[in-house]
Amino acid sequence: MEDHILIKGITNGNEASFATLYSKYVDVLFSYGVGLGYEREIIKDAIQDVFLKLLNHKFAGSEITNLKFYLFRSLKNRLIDLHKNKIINEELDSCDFDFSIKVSILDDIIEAENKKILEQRINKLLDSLTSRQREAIVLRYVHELGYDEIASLLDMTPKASRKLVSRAMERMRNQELLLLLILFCKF
Amino acid sequence: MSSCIGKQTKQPTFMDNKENIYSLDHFLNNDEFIRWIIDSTPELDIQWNKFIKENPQAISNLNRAKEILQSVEMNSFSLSDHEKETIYRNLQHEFLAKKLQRKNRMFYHYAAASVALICLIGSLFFIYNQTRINQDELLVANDIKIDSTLTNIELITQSNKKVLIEKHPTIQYNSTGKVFVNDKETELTAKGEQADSELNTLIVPNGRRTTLILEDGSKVWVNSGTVLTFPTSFDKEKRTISVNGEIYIEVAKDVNRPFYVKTSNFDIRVLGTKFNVSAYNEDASKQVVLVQGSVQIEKQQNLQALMHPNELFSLYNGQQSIREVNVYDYISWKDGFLQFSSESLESICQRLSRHYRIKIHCDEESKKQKFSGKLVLFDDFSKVLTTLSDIIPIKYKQAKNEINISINNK
Repeated sequence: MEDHILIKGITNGNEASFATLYSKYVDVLFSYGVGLGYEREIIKDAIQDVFLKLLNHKFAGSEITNLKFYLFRSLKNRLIDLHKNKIINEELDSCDFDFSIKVSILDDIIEAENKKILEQRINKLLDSLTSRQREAIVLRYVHELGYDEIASLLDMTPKASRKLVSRAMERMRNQELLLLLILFCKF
Repeated sequence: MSSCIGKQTKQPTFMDNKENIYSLDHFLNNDEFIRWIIDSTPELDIQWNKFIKENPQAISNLNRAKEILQSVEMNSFSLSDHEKETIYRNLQHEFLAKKLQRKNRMFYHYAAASVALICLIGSLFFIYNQTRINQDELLVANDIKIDSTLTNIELITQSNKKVLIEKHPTIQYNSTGKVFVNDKETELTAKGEQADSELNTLIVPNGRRTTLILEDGSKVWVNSGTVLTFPTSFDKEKRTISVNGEIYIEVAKDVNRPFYVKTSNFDIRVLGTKFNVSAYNEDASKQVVLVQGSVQIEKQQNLQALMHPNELFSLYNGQQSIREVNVYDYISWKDGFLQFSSESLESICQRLSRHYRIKIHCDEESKKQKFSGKLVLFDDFSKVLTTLSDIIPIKYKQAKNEINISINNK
């Protein structure tokens, strides 16, 4: 169901709309959180906070035009804040997380050995990218966000984000055309 | 079928050795095949359809390769149904609360006066009007260990008049100095000029809870094992109470008289708000959770922290920190139950320990296990234990003043 309809439902106090919206985005947000490198429990806390924030936002009557992006943005900010608090409490060394991509071949008839080899090849390909390139690739091809949104999440201009993605693709293309096509074969 | 798909073969043409063409590997390594699957063009269509026609035995491998290529996913992580449900339950609660809040918004403005501050008064040393304090009273109220045999809530005035209260009362001090318990006027109602600035002590023993309405209309929920000291009538310039234990308080708005909650480690200056304070003298960790409004944490008039709603301020071994939390987890006790979401057994037992002032020890195996749920805070702790062991597979042994918990592996 479309986001703006669900949001309207929530504003009208319709719990089913909220439940649907939640189901629609919870795993996607979780996946982004894992890619960013945070711990499971922290991601769960952050997800809860993000939806709470949404509720507070909606009930304050303000408009959200791009919900998916709003959720992604909130999640990333929240994860950073939670991590910052952790640092203060436990005096951990501050570190910038690497964005990680885990490739899985869902096909279950393929021989385990071949599957493993293929996955390894793909992972090697992705490792050759920078962390930001990886994040941009996932945001573009997995979460289907626009370049403006990717730019905001990565703290750069839309033009720069477009360049980032095309550079990443180019880099992989130079290495393994085959695998590149496998990865993006949905498009 | 040959083993390694990892081998990069050169582009074979359709005219190559027929045996190679049939293998699965061939397709997975063939750029033109892959391009056809991903992004077919009319030329590729013709090319490959011709191939299929001429090599029907290759069809199954071809289709297999297609399936595999189309099944690759990146970062397809998901939470378990249970985890999603747990998070949702907390959200649902908030959703319903917000829904109600919207409906009550008009009413809310009128009730703006009620802010809950839960402060437990612990240290009487901070009471501004020290000279008027009866020293003996001080000692009694500051006795951290509330007599464990004490079962009744006690309300004691400065002049040593005492009232014993049973069950879950609501105690109210009105602006004329009358004291009501459950709407019945008590003999504590002070008489004469002494009346106004009298300091009262409320002792709530283990397992009990009470609600107190102060002279200015502020409402205080007082938790188990708490000593609260407050005046019959507040000062002209500021309102002060002190706490050793845990309270949830809704402070009545009064811009001319800031409200202070004093604990032995810090003071909370209230600007009109709702919050929970957990400051048991004997606990190493002291916490303030802000529900609504804004408070300042001060130590000897120096600002330590400014809090915003949904924040938890924690002081542990001299180290302070603030983080955002789900506030209802911390104040659900005022409604008579403990709420926990994905909380470790160790943490749940710590909270129960605090509420009932009984030592609960979890063994290594059971400590880290996590649970979600709601637990009613019965007056009788043994009831709580049996309920807990119904929801969670634990067994417990009672030894002297301690409970030992371990996982039941049956």
